[in-house]
Amino acid sequence: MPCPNCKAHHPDFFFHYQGNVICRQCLSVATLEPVSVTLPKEHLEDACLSFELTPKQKEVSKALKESSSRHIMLEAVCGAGKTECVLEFIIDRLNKKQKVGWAIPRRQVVLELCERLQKVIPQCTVIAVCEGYTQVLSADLVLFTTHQAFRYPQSFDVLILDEVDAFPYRGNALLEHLISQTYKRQCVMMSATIPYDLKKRMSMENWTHITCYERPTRHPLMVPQLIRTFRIMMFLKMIQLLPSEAKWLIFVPTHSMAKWISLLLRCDSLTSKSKEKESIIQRFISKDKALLVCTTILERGVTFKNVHVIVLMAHHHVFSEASLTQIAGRVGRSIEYPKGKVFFISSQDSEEVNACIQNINNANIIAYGA
Amino acid sequence: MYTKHQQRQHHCLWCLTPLDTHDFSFMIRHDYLCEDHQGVLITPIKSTMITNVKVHYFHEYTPQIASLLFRYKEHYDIPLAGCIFLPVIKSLKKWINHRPILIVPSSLKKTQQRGFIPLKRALSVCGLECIEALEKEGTQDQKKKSKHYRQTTQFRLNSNSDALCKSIVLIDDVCTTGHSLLTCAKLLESFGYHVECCVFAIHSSWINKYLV
Repeated sequence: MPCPNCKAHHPDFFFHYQGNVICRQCLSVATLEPVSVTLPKEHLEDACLSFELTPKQKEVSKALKESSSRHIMLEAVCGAGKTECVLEFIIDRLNKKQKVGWAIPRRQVVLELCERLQKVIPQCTVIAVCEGYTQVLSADLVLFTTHQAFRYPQSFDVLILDEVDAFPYRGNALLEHLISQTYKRQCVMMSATIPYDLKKRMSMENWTHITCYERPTRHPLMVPQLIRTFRIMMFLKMIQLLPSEAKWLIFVPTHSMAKWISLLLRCDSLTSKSKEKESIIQRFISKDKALLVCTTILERGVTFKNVHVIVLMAHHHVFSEASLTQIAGRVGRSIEYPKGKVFFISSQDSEEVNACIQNINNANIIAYGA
Repeated sequence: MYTKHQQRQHHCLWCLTPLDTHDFSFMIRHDYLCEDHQGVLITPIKSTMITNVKVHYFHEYTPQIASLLFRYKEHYDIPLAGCIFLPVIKSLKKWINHRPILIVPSSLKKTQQRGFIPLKRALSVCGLECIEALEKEGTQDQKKKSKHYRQTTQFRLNSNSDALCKSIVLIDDVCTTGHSLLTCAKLLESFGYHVECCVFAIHSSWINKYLV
Protein backbone atom coordinates (compact mmCIF):
# COMPACT_ATOMS: atom_id res chain seq x y z
CA MET A 1 0.00 0.00 0.00
CA PRO A 2 1.45 3.41 -0.88
CA CYS A 3 2.37 5.94 1.80
CA PRO A 4 -0.63 8.24 2.35
CA ASN A 5 1.63 11.32 2.39
CA CYS A 6 4.31 10.89 -0.23
CA LYS A 7 2.63 8.11 -2.27
CA ALA A 8 5.85 6.07 -2.18
CA HIS A 9 5.12 2.40 -2.76
CA HIS A 10 8.47 0.69 -3.35
CA PRO A 11 9.48 -1.68 -0.50
CA ASP A 12 12.86 0.11 -0.22
CA PHE A 13 11.05 3.09 1.28
CA PHE A 14 9.49 1.22 4.21
CA PHE A 15 10.62 -0.59 7.34
CA HIS A 16 9.03 -2.02 10.45
CA TYR A 17 9.63 -0.31 13.78
CA GLN A 18 7.90 -1.40 17.00
CA GLY A 19 4.99 -2.95 15.10
CA ASN A 20 4.47 0.01 12.75
CA VAL A 21 5.34 0.40 9.10
CA ILE A 22 7.42 3.56 8.70
CA CYS A 23 7.97 5.48 5.45
CA ARG A 24 11.58 6.59 5.23
CA GLN A 25 10.81 9.53 2.94
CA CYS A 26 8.39 11.03 5.44
CA LEU A 27 10.44 10.15 8.52
CA SER A 28 12.72 13.18 8.64
CA VAL A 29 9.78 15.45 7.90
CA ALA A 30 7.57 14.23 10.71
CA THR A 31 10.11 14.65 13.46
CA LEU A 32 11.01 18.33 13.04
CA GLU A 33 9.35 21.22 14.84
CA PRO A 34 7.59 23.75 12.56
CA VAL A 35 9.14 27.20 12.17
CA SER A 36 7.12 30.28 13.05
CA VAL A 37 7.40 33.07 10.46
CA THR A 38 7.33 36.77 11.47
CA LEU A 39 5.38 39.71 10.01
CA PRO A 40 6.76 43.16 9.10
CA LYS A 41 6.61 45.57 12.04
CA GLU A 42 5.66 48.61 9.93
CA HIS A 43 3.30 49.24 7.04
CA LEU A 44 5.11 48.48 3.77
CA GLU A 45 5.35 51.08 1.01
CA ASP A 46 5.33 50.22 -2.69
CA ALA A 47 8.23 48.19 -4.09
CA CYS A 48 11.32 50.28 -4.98
CA LEU A 49 11.56 49.34 -8.64
CA SER A 50 13.96 51.23 -10.91
CA PHE A 51 11.39 51.12 -13.74
CA GLU A 52 7.66 51.43 -14.11
CA LEU A 53 5.50 48.40 -14.74
CA THR A 54 3.99 48.10 -18.21
CA PRO A 55 0.19 48.40 -18.53
CA LYS A 56 -0.03 44.62 -18.98
CA GLN A 57 2.05 43.99 -15.86
CA LYS A 58 -0.12 46.43 -13.89
CA GLU A 59 -3.20 44.59 -15.11
CA VAL A 60 -1.75 41.24 -13.98
CA SER A 61 -0.68 42.70 -10.65
CA LYS A 62 -4.17 44.14 -10.05
CA ALA A 63 -5.83 40.84 -10.98
CA LEU A 64 -3.61 39.01 -8.50
CA LYS A 65 -4.35 41.45 -5.69
CA GLU A 66 -8.10 41.28 -6.23
CA SER A 67 -8.30 37.52 -6.57
CA SER A 68 -9.53 35.66 -3.53
CA SER A 69 -9.47 32.15 -4.97
CA ARG A 70 -7.37 29.52 -3.23
CA HIS A 71 -5.37 28.56 -6.31
CA ILE A 72 -4.13 31.10 -8.83
CA MET A 73 -2.15 30.13 -11.90
CA LEU A 74 0.00 32.86 -13.40
CA GLU A 75 1.09 31.85 -16.87
CA ALA A 76 3.59 34.29 -18.33
CA VAL A 77 6.24 33.93 -20.98
CA CYS A 78 9.91 33.92 -19.99
CA GLY A 79 11.06 37.44 -19.18
CA ALA A 80 7.51 38.81 -18.84
CA GLY A 81 8.35 40.04 -15.34
CA LYS A 82 6.46 37.54 -13.20
CA THR A 83 8.47 38.53 -10.14
CA GLU A 84 7.64 42.23 -10.56
CA CYS A 85 3.94 41.40 -11.10
CA VAL A 86 3.80 39.47 -7.84
CA LEU A 87 5.57 42.13 -5.74
CA GLU A 88 2.51 44.33 -5.22
CA PHE A 89 0.46 41.26 -4.36
CA ILE A 90 3.02 40.24 -1.71
CA ILE A 91 3.17 43.74 -0.20
CA ASP A 92 -0.64 43.89 -0.14
CA ARG A 93 -0.92 40.55 1.67
CA LEU A 94 1.86 41.39 4.16
CA ASN A 95 0.12 44.68 4.95
CA LYS A 96 -3.04 42.67 5.61
CA LYS A 97 -1.01 40.75 8.22
CA GLN A 98 -0.89 37.59 6.15
CA LYS A 99 2.32 35.57 6.22
CA VAL A 100 3.89 35.05 2.82
CA GLY A 101 6.34 32.39 1.63
CA TRP A 102 7.97 31.88 -1.75
CA ALA A 103 8.91 28.36 -2.82
CA ILE A 104 11.16 27.65 -5.79
CA PRO A 105 12.50 24.24 -6.84
CA ARG A 106 15.99 25.56 -7.75
CA ARG A 107 18.52 26.63 -5.12
CA GLN A 108 20.35 28.97 -7.47
CA VAL A 109 17.13 30.85 -8.21
CA VAL A 110 16.31 31.17 -4.50
CA LEU A 111 19.64 32.84 -3.79
CA GLU A 112 19.44 35.20 -6.75
CA LEU A 113 15.83 36.18 -6.07
CA CYS A 114 16.50 36.76 -2.38
CA GLU A 115 19.08 39.43 -3.24
CA ARG A 116 16.70 41.09 -5.68
CA LEU A 117 13.77 41.12 -3.27
CA GLN A 118 15.81 42.50 -0.39
CA LYS A 119 16.62 45.52 -2.59
CA VAL A 120 13.06 46.17 -3.77
CA ILE A 121 11.34 45.65 -0.38
CA PRO A 122 13.93 47.13 2.01
CA GLN A 123 11.52 47.54 4.97
CA CYS A 124 10.92 43.81 5.06
CA THR A 125 13.45 41.15 6.11
CA VAL A 126 13.94 38.62 3.32
CA ILE A 127 15.85 35.37 3.77
CA ALA A 128 16.81 32.43 1.58
CA VAL A 129 16.43 28.96 3.05
CA CYS A 130 18.14 26.26 1.03
CA GLU A 131 21.11 23.91 1.19
CA GLY A 132 23.93 25.76 2.96
CA TYR A 133 21.60 28.53 4.16
CA THR A 134 19.65 27.04 7.05
CA GLN A 135 20.97 29.04 10.01
CA VAL A 136 18.15 31.62 9.93
CA LEU A 137 14.72 30.17 9.21
CA SER A 138 12.31 32.92 10.21
CA ALA A 139 11.77 36.31 8.53
CA ASP A 140 9.01 38.53 7.11
CA LEU A 141 9.43 36.98 3.68
CA VAL A 142 10.94 33.52 3.38
CA LEU A 143 12.24 32.21 0.07
CA PHE A 144 12.93 28.51 0.19
CA THR A 145 13.62 25.57 -2.05
CA THR A 146 10.75 23.10 -2.27
CA HIS A 147 12.94 20.59 -0.40
CA GLN A 148 12.86 22.90 2.64
CA ALA A 149 9.04 22.97 2.76
CA PHE A 150 9.11 20.40 5.56
CA ARG A 151 10.21 23.17 7.93
CA TYR A 152 7.07 25.24 7.34
CA PRO A 153 3.89 23.18 7.86
CA GLN A 154 0.91 25.59 7.93
CA SER A 155 3.37 28.47 8.40
CA PHE A 156 2.11 30.74 5.62
CA ASP A 157 -1.20 32.29 4.69
CA VAL A 158 -0.08 32.82 1.13
CA LEU A 159 2.45 30.80 -0.84
CA ILE A 160 4.05 31.79 -4.12
CA LEU A 161 5.15 28.65 -5.93
CA ASP A 162 7.52 29.68 -8.69
CA GLU A 163 8.49 27.43 -11.62
CA VAL A 164 5.92 24.73 -10.86
CA ASP A 165 7.14 22.59 -13.72
CA ALA A 166 10.80 22.55 -12.71
CA PHE A 167 12.90 19.65 -11.52
CA PRO A 168 12.95 18.39 -8.75
CA TYR A 169 9.45 19.56 -7.74
CA ARG A 170 7.66 18.35 -10.83
CA GLY A 171 6.45 14.78 -10.48
CA ASN A 172 7.75 14.40 -6.93
CA ALA A 173 4.76 13.36 -4.82
CA LEU A 174 6.53 14.02 -1.51
CA LEU A 175 7.45 17.60 -2.42
CA GLU A 176 3.95 18.23 -3.77
CA HIS A 177 2.52 16.98 -0.48
CA LEU A 178 4.92 19.09 1.59
CA ILE A 179 4.14 22.22 -0.41
CA SER A 180 0.39 21.63 -0.07
CA GLN A 181 0.87 21.58 3.72
CA THR A 182 2.64 24.96 3.93
CA TYR A 183 -0.19 27.40 3.15
CA LYS A 184 -3.60 28.12 4.66
CA ARG A 185 -5.31 30.57 2.27
CA GLN A 186 -3.84 31.08 -1.17
CA CYS A 187 -1.27 29.59 -3.48
CA VAL A 188 -0.05 31.44 -6.56
CA MET A 189 1.64 29.12 -9.03
CA MET A 190 3.82 30.63 -11.72
CA SER A 191 5.51 29.32 -14.81
CA ALA A 192 6.07 29.98 -18.47
CA THR A 193 5.56 26.34 -19.34
CA ILE A 194 2.62 24.83 -17.51
CA PRO A 195 2.46 21.06 -17.90
CA TYR A 196 -0.61 19.41 -19.38
CA ASP A 197 -1.70 17.63 -16.17
CA LEU A 198 -1.65 20.90 -14.21
CA LYS A 199 -3.66 22.63 -16.94
CA LYS A 200 -6.21 19.83 -16.71
CA ARG A 201 -6.40 20.19 -12.91
CA MET A 202 -6.71 23.94 -13.31
CA SER A 203 -9.79 23.65 -15.51
CA MET A 204 -11.35 20.90 -13.39
CA GLU A 205 -10.94 22.74 -10.10
CA ASN A 206 -11.73 26.20 -11.52
CA TRP A 207 -8.49 27.88 -10.56
CA THR A 208 -8.03 31.56 -11.41
CA HIS A 209 -5.93 31.69 -14.56
CA ILE A 210 -4.00 34.89 -15.28
CA THR A 211 -1.87 35.16 -18.40
CA CYS A 212 0.84 37.50 -19.63
CA TYR A 213 2.37 36.76 -23.03
CA GLU A 214 3.97 40.16 -23.43
CA ARG A 215 7.50 41.07 -22.40
CA PRO A 216 8.21 44.54 -20.95
CA THR A 217 10.73 45.01 -23.75
CA ARG A 218 7.74 44.96 -26.19
CA HIS A 219 9.80 42.66 -28.38
CA PRO A 220 8.62 39.18 -29.29
CA LEU A 221 10.32 36.15 -27.84
CA MET A 222 13.37 35.02 -29.76
CA VAL A 223 12.42 32.08 -31.95
CA PRO A 224 15.15 29.42 -31.85
CA GLN A 225 16.96 28.62 -35.04
CA LEU A 226 17.21 24.87 -35.54
CA ILE A 227 20.43 23.56 -37.07
CA ARG A 228 20.38 19.92 -38.14
CA THR A 229 23.74 18.37 -38.76
CA PHE A 230 25.65 15.11 -38.39
CA ARG A 231 26.57 14.06 -34.89
CA ILE A 232 30.30 14.57 -35.39
CA MET A 233 29.75 17.98 -36.99
CA MET A 234 27.75 19.42 -34.09
CA PHE A 235 30.75 20.67 -32.17
CA LEU A 236 32.34 22.24 -35.25
CA LYS A 237 29.05 23.92 -36.11
CA MET A 238 28.93 25.35 -32.62
CA ILE A 239 32.47 26.78 -32.93
CA GLN A 240 31.45 28.32 -36.23
CA LEU A 241 28.47 30.03 -34.58
CA LEU A 242 30.50 31.53 -31.74
CA PRO A 243 31.78 34.94 -32.76
CA SER A 244 34.04 36.81 -30.36
CA GLU A 245 31.32 39.26 -29.34
CA ALA A 246 28.90 39.20 -26.38
CA LYS A 247 28.17 36.45 -23.89
CA TRP A 248 27.17 32.95 -24.86
CA LEU A 249 25.53 30.29 -22.77
CA ILE A 250 26.14 26.82 -24.16
CA PHE A 251 23.66 24.28 -22.83
CA VAL A 252 24.73 20.66 -22.92
CA PRO A 253 22.80 17.61 -21.70
CA THR A 254 25.30 15.97 -19.32
CA HIS A 255 27.88 16.84 -16.64
CA SER A 256 30.70 15.04 -18.43
CA MET A 257 29.94 16.80 -21.68
CA ALA A 258 29.97 20.16 -19.88
CA LYS A 259 33.38 19.31 -18.47
CA TRP A 260 34.89 18.28 -21.81
CA ILE A 261 33.48 21.16 -23.81
CA SER A 262 34.60 23.70 -21.24
CA LEU A 263 38.10 22.21 -21.47
CA LEU A 264 38.08 22.41 -25.26
CA LEU A 265 36.74 25.97 -25.30
CA ARG A 266 38.87 27.02 -22.32
CA CYS A 267 35.94 28.52 -20.44
CA ASP A 268 33.99 27.93 -17.21
CA SER A 269 31.39 25.22 -16.83
CA LEU A 270 28.48 25.16 -14.43
CA THR A 271 26.68 22.00 -13.39
CA SER A 272 24.94 20.90 -10.21
CA LYS A 273 28.27 19.33 -9.19
CA SER A 274 30.25 22.59 -9.53
CA LYS A 275 31.61 23.72 -6.21
CA GLU A 276 31.73 27.51 -6.63
CA LYS A 277 28.49 28.14 -8.46
CA GLU A 278 28.02 31.72 -7.25
CA SER A 279 31.53 32.81 -8.18
CA ILE A 280 31.28 31.22 -11.66
CA ILE A 281 28.06 33.13 -12.30
CA GLN A 282 29.54 36.36 -10.94
CA ARG A 283 32.56 35.95 -13.24
CA PHE A 284 30.26 35.42 -16.21
CA ILE A 285 28.14 38.46 -15.33
CA SER A 286 31.15 40.73 -14.79
CA LYS A 287 32.64 40.10 -18.26
CA ASP A 288 31.47 41.69 -21.53
CA LYS A 289 32.58 38.74 -23.60
CA ALA A 290 32.41 35.29 -22.11
CA LEU A 291 31.41 31.70 -22.67
CA LEU A 292 29.75 29.51 -20.08
CA VAL A 293 29.04 25.85 -20.64
CA CYS A 294 26.20 24.65 -18.44
CA THR A 295 23.62 21.96 -17.98
CA THR A 296 19.92 22.64 -17.43
CA ILE A 297 20.84 24.12 -14.02
CA LEU A 298 20.71 27.57 -15.68
CA GLU A 299 17.62 26.91 -17.76
CA ARG A 300 15.35 29.08 -15.60
CA GLY A 301 15.18 31.81 -13.00
CA VAL A 302 18.39 33.56 -14.01
CA THR A 303 18.75 36.82 -15.93
CA PHE A 304 21.86 37.83 -17.87
CA LYS A 305 22.17 40.97 -19.96
CA ASN A 306 23.06 40.68 -23.64
CA VAL A 307 23.36 36.91 -23.70
CA HIS A 308 22.99 34.49 -26.59
CA VAL A 309 22.25 30.79 -26.31
CA ILE A 310 23.30 27.58 -28.00
CA VAL A 311 21.77 24.23 -27.10
CA LEU A 312 24.05 21.41 -28.13
CA MET A 313 22.35 18.05 -28.77
CA ALA A 314 18.93 19.67 -28.46
CA HIS A 315 17.35 16.31 -29.33
CA HIS A 316 18.69 14.75 -26.09
CA HIS A 317 15.96 13.47 -23.75
CA VAL A 318 17.17 15.82 -20.99
CA PHE A 319 15.84 18.76 -23.00
CA SER A 320 12.08 18.63 -22.71
CA GLU A 321 9.75 21.07 -24.43
CA ALA A 322 9.45 23.12 -21.22
CA SER A 323 13.17 23.05 -20.67
CA LEU A 324 13.93 24.27 -24.22
CA THR A 325 11.31 27.01 -23.95
CA GLN A 326 12.90 28.21 -20.72
CA ILE A 327 16.38 28.12 -22.26
CA ALA A 328 15.22 30.19 -25.23
CA GLY A 329 13.65 32.59 -22.74
CA ARG A 330 17.08 33.51 -21.30
CA VAL A 331 17.69 35.71 -24.36
CA GLY A 332 16.49 39.30 -24.75
CA ARG A 333 15.35 39.81 -21.18
CA SER A 334 16.80 43.26 -20.57
CA ILE A 335 15.38 46.47 -22.00
CA GLU A 336 18.84 47.55 -23.27
CA TYR A 337 19.29 44.28 -25.16
CA PRO A 338 15.85 43.04 -26.18
CA LYS A 339 17.18 40.81 -28.96
CA GLY A 340 19.56 37.90 -29.15
CA LYS A 341 20.35 34.64 -30.85
CA VAL A 342 19.09 31.18 -29.94
CA PHE A 343 20.45 28.13 -31.75
CA PHE A 344 19.35 24.55 -31.25
CA ILE A 345 21.95 22.19 -32.70
CA SER A 346 20.61 18.71 -33.20
CA SER A 347 21.49 15.57 -35.09
CA GLN A 348 18.04 14.00 -34.91
CA ASP A 349 14.49 15.08 -35.42
CA SER A 350 12.87 15.80 -32.06
CA GLU A 351 9.24 16.38 -31.20
CA GLU A 352 10.24 18.38 -28.13
CA VAL A 353 12.30 20.82 -30.22
CA ASN A 354 9.51 21.26 -32.76
CA ALA A 355 6.90 21.74 -30.02
CA CYS A 356 9.09 24.35 -28.32
CA ILE A 357 9.49 26.38 -31.51
CA GLN A 358 5.75 26.05 -32.17
CA ASN A 359 4.93 27.25 -28.62
CA ILE A 360 7.16 30.30 -28.89
CA ASN A 361 5.62 31.21 -32.24
CA ASN A 362 2.11 30.81 -30.77
CA ALA A 363 2.96 33.01 -27.77
CA ASN A 364 4.29 35.69 -30.12
CA ILE A 365 1.13 35.53 -32.21
CA ILE A 366 -1.09 35.88 -29.12
CA ALA A 367 0.92 38.83 -27.80
CA TYR A 368 1.78 40.72 -30.95
CA GLY A 369 -0.39 39.15 -33.62
CA ALA A 370 2.58 38.49 -35.88
CA MET B 1 28.94 -10.40 -1.63
CA TYR B 2 26.76 -7.83 0.06
CA THR B 3 23.64 -9.87 -0.65
CA LYS B 4 24.70 -12.18 2.17
CA HIS B 5 23.82 -9.45 4.67
CA GLN B 6 21.73 -6.99 2.76
CA GLN B 7 18.67 -7.42 0.57
CA ARG B 8 19.00 -6.12 -2.93
CA GLN B 9 18.13 -2.42 -3.09
CA HIS B 10 16.73 -0.45 -6.00
CA HIS B 11 17.19 2.87 -4.22
CA CYS B 12 20.22 4.31 -2.47
CA LEU B 13 20.04 3.33 1.18
CA TRP B 14 21.09 6.82 2.25
CA CYS B 15 19.40 9.30 -0.12
CA LEU B 16 16.70 7.04 -1.64
CA THR B 17 17.50 8.07 -5.21
CA PRO B 18 16.86 5.29 -7.73
CA LEU B 19 19.94 3.23 -8.51
CA ASP B 20 20.99 2.53 -12.06
CA THR B 21 20.14 -1.10 -12.58
CA HIS B 22 22.03 -2.52 -15.49
CA ASP B 23 22.73 -6.09 -16.54
CA PHE B 24 25.94 -6.35 -14.55
CA SER B 25 24.71 -4.74 -11.35
CA PHE B 26 24.83 -8.11 -9.58
CA MET B 27 28.62 -8.04 -9.98
CA ILE B 28 28.98 -4.73 -8.14
CA ARG B 29 29.50 -5.06 -4.45
CA HIS B 30 28.09 -1.75 -3.25
CA ASP B 31 25.00 -1.33 -5.38
CA TYR B 32 22.86 -0.39 -2.40
CA LEU B 33 24.44 3.09 -2.46
CA CYS B 34 24.40 5.72 -5.20
CA GLU B 35 27.71 6.75 -6.74
CA ASP B 36 27.99 9.91 -4.66
CA HIS B 37 27.46 8.12 -1.37
CA GLN B 38 29.73 5.24 -2.33
CA GLY B 39 32.41 7.91 -2.67
CA VAL B 40 31.65 9.17 0.82
CA LEU B 41 31.27 5.89 2.67
CA ILE B 42 33.78 3.56 1.07
CA THR B 43 37.07 4.46 2.65
CA PRO B 44 40.09 2.59 4.04
CA ILE B 45 40.68 2.23 7.76
CA LYS B 46 42.99 4.87 9.21
CA SER B 47 44.47 5.47 12.62
CA THR B 48 45.32 8.33 14.95
CA MET B 49 46.40 8.82 18.56
CA ILE B 50 44.13 10.11 21.30
CA THR B 51 46.15 10.80 24.44
CA ASN B 52 48.52 7.85 23.92
CA VAL B 53 45.79 5.45 22.78
CA LYS B 54 45.81 4.36 19.15
CA VAL B 55 42.34 4.69 17.67
CA HIS B 56 41.35 3.38 14.24
CA TYR B 57 38.67 5.24 12.34
CA PHE B 58 36.92 5.37 8.99
CA HIS B 59 35.57 8.92 8.61
CA GLU B 60 36.11 12.43 9.77
CA TYR B 61 33.07 13.69 11.69
CA THR B 62 31.84 16.03 8.93
CA PRO B 63 28.34 17.58 8.86
CA GLN B 64 27.36 14.98 6.26
CA ILE B 65 28.43 12.08 8.46
CA ALA B 66 26.85 13.78 11.47
CA SER B 67 23.53 14.07 9.66
CA LEU B 68 23.69 10.40 8.68
CA LEU B 69 24.24 9.35 12.29
CA PHE B 70 21.60 11.76 13.53
CA ARG B 71 19.03 10.37 11.13
CA TYR B 72 19.93 6.82 12.11
CA LYS B 73 20.15 7.27 15.87
CA GLU B 74 17.70 10.07 16.63
CA HIS B 75 15.12 9.69 13.85
CA TYR B 76 15.31 5.90 14.14
CA ASP B 77 15.82 5.44 10.39
CA ILE B 78 16.86 1.86 11.01
CA PRO B 79 17.73 0.81 7.42
CA LEU B 80 20.62 3.30 7.61
CA ALA B 81 22.38 0.67 9.73
CA GLY B 82 23.62 -0.58 6.35
CA CYS B 83 25.45 2.71 5.73
CA ILE B 84 27.67 2.52 8.81
CA PHE B 85 29.99 -0.45 8.64
CA LEU B 86 28.68 -2.37 5.62
CA PRO B 87 30.49 -0.22 3.00
CA VAL B 88 33.79 -0.84 4.83
CA ILE B 89 33.09 -4.41 5.87
CA LYS B 90 36.16 -5.88 4.16
CA SER B 91 38.70 -3.68 5.93
CA LEU B 92 36.76 -3.86 9.20
CA LYS B 93 36.72 -7.67 9.22
CA LYS B 94 40.40 -7.79 8.33
CA TRP B 95 41.17 -5.45 11.21
CA ILE B 96 38.96 -7.31 13.71
CA ASN B 97 40.59 -10.62 12.75
CA HIS B 98 38.09 -12.84 14.63
CA ARG B 99 38.62 -11.07 17.96
CA PRO B 100 35.60 -10.53 20.23
CA ILE B 101 33.85 -7.18 19.67
CA LEU B 102 32.75 -4.90 22.50
CA ILE B 103 30.75 -1.75 21.91
CA VAL B 104 30.73 1.47 23.92
CA PRO B 105 27.26 1.40 25.52
CA SER B 106 24.56 4.07 25.50
CA SER B 107 22.61 4.89 28.67
CA LEU B 108 19.86 2.44 29.60
CA LYS B 109 17.23 5.15 29.26
CA LYS B 110 18.32 6.03 25.74
CA THR B 111 18.43 2.36 24.71
CA GLN B 112 14.91 1.81 26.03
CA GLN B 113 13.69 4.94 24.28
CA ARG B 114 15.16 3.86 20.96
CA GLY B 115 14.16 0.24 21.21
CA PHE B 116 17.38 -0.81 19.48
CA ILE B 117 21.13 -0.45 19.97
CA PRO B 118 22.43 1.45 16.92
CA LEU B 119 25.98 0.08 17.02
CA LYS B 120 24.86 -3.48 17.58
CA ARG B 121 22.45 -3.27 14.66
CA ALA B 122 25.05 -1.67 12.38
CA LEU B 123 27.41 -4.56 13.14
CA SER B 124 24.77 -7.26 12.87
CA VAL B 125 23.90 -6.03 9.35
CA CYS B 126 27.49 -6.95 8.47
CA GLY B 127 27.12 -10.37 10.12
CA LEU B 128 29.23 -9.35 13.12
CA GLU B 129 28.08 -10.15 16.63
CA CYS B 130 29.12 -8.01 19.58
CA ILE B 131 29.25 -8.75 23.29
CA GLU B 132 27.46 -6.31 25.58
CA ALA B 133 29.96 -6.58 28.40
CA LEU B 134 30.05 -2.87 29.24
CA GLU B 135 27.34 -0.85 30.97
CA LYS B 136 26.99 2.86 31.40
CA GLU B 137 26.23 4.23 34.85
CA GLY B 138 23.63 7.00 35.09
CA THR B 139 20.79 7.79 32.76
CA GLN B 140 21.54 11.25 31.42
CA ASP B 141 21.87 11.74 27.68
CA GLN B 142 25.52 12.18 26.65
CA LYS B 143 24.92 15.05 24.24
CA LYS B 144 23.21 17.13 26.93
CA LYS B 145 26.35 17.09 29.06
CA SER B 146 29.21 19.55 28.94
CA LYS B 147 32.75 18.35 28.30
CA HIS B 148 33.48 18.51 32.02
CA TYR B 149 30.47 16.40 32.98
CA ARG B 150 31.17 13.89 30.23
CA GLN B 151 34.48 13.22 31.94
CA THR B 152 32.60 12.06 35.02
CA THR B 153 30.67 9.39 33.07
CA GLN B 154 31.49 5.97 34.44
CA PHE B 155 31.29 2.52 32.90
CA ARG B 156 31.36 -0.93 34.48
CA LEU B 157 31.87 -4.51 33.34
CA ASN B 158 28.96 -6.92 33.68
CA SER B 159 28.76 -10.70 33.81
CA ASN B 160 29.03 -11.01 29.99
CA SER B 161 32.72 -10.19 30.34
CA ASP B 162 33.38 -13.70 31.69
CA ALA B 163 33.29 -15.03 28.12
CA LEU B 164 35.96 -12.63 26.83
CA CYS B 165 39.43 -13.68 25.76
CA LYS B 166 42.55 -11.56 26.33
CA SER B 167 42.60 -9.63 23.06
CA ILE B 168 39.47 -7.64 22.25
CA VAL B 169 38.29 -4.83 20.01
CA LEU B 170 36.26 -1.87 21.23
CA ILE B 171 33.97 -0.13 18.73
CA ASP B 172 32.10 3.16 18.96
CA ASP B 173 30.20 5.24 16.42
CA VAL B 174 31.56 8.73 17.12
CA CYS B 175 34.59 10.00 18.97
CA THR B 176 34.36 13.72 19.77
CA THR B 177 35.97 14.39 23.15
CA GLY B 178 37.22 10.81 23.24
CA HIS B 179 36.21 10.40 26.87
CA SER B 180 33.79 7.48 26.60
CA LEU B 181 36.10 5.48 24.36
CA LEU B 182 39.19 6.07 26.48
CA THR B 183 37.39 5.38 29.78
CA CYS B 184 36.11 2.07 28.44
CA ALA B 185 39.52 1.17 27.02
CA LYS B 186 41.27 1.97 30.31
CA LEU B 187 38.67 0.04 32.30
CA LEU B 188 39.20 -3.04 30.14
CA GLU B 189 42.97 -2.68 30.31
CA SER B 190 42.76 -2.49 34.11
CA PHE B 191 41.19 -5.96 33.99
CA GLY B 192 44.14 -7.21 31.98
CA TYR B 193 42.64 -7.18 28.49
CA HIS B 194 44.57 -6.08 25.43
CA VAL B 195 42.24 -3.52 23.75
CA GLU B 196 42.26 -1.98 20.29
CA CYS B 197 39.78 0.79 19.48
CA CYS B 198 37.89 1.65 16.34
CA VAL B 199 35.28 4.31 15.62
CA PHE B 200 33.07 5.02 12.63
CA ALA B 201 33.74 8.78 12.72
CA ILE B 202 36.22 10.90 14.61
CA HIS B 203 36.35 14.64 15.28
CA SER B 204 38.70 16.47 12.91
CA SER B 205 40.82 17.88 15.77
CA TRP B 206 42.07 14.38 16.59
CA ILE B 207 43.03 13.76 12.96
CA ASN B 208 44.91 17.00 12.41
CA LYS B 209 46.86 16.96 15.67
CA TYR B 210 48.05 13.40 15.83
CA LEU B 211 48.14 12.08 12.28
CA VAL B 212 49.95 8.77 12.21
